[in-house]
Amino acid sequence: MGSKARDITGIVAVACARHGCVAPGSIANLQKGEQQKNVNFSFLSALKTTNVEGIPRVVLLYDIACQYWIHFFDRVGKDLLGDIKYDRGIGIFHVYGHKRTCLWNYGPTFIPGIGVVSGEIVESLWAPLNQVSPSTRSATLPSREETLDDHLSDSNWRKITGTGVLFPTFLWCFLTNITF
Amino acid sequence: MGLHSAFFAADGNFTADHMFLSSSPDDDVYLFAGNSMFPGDPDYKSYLATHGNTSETVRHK
Repeated sequence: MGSKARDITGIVAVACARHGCVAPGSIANLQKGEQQKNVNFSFLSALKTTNVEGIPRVVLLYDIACQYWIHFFDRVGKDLLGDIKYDRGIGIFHVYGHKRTCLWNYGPTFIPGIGVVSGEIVESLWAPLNQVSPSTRSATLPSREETLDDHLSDSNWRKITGTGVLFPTFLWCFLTNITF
Repeated sequence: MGLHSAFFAADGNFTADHMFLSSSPDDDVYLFAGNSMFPGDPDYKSYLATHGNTSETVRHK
């Protein structure tokens, strides 16, 4: 479908890189391509809604962080919360598609203090959403927003309630020496 | 470097697009605009109007 026939060409989401809970207010509609201002808004929204005040460090893992980060502070510096060290990385799948030097400069494996994080969790959130979004294509804008809201909120809710079963399962797997 | 960090992952999706509809904006009623996963439309529109890109990122898959 040509872009003249579409008023929204896609969305950007920011999620917790560890657990994959979508940050409220962070789903930004795209008008033309994946522009940096859309991602800026999405990230700033995520910072506002996820209680990062008092946390000394925030790491953003983004597919094209090497390019995005160059003028990041020029663009959003005045809107960022103070007293936080901002760091960046590229998801481990995408970093191999970049040039070789990106691997050790941006690969999450080589960022001290972030543990073992893939940075690709949002891809796994898109998989179920891609089953839903074609039916919202021809809906009205509010209907589309509410449908996608419902499905993303449900994803978060199932994650919260599922944790109660998941961690005992991990423990049981560990104790019985079974691979999860 | 703090021991306590917050990690965020960002990504775009081009499947969740939307067709242009020639309906009147007054007919569009948002039941909980800006209170869930999507930001409030006025906030987002005003941000886009007042902030630019230093450079546009290329569309990628």
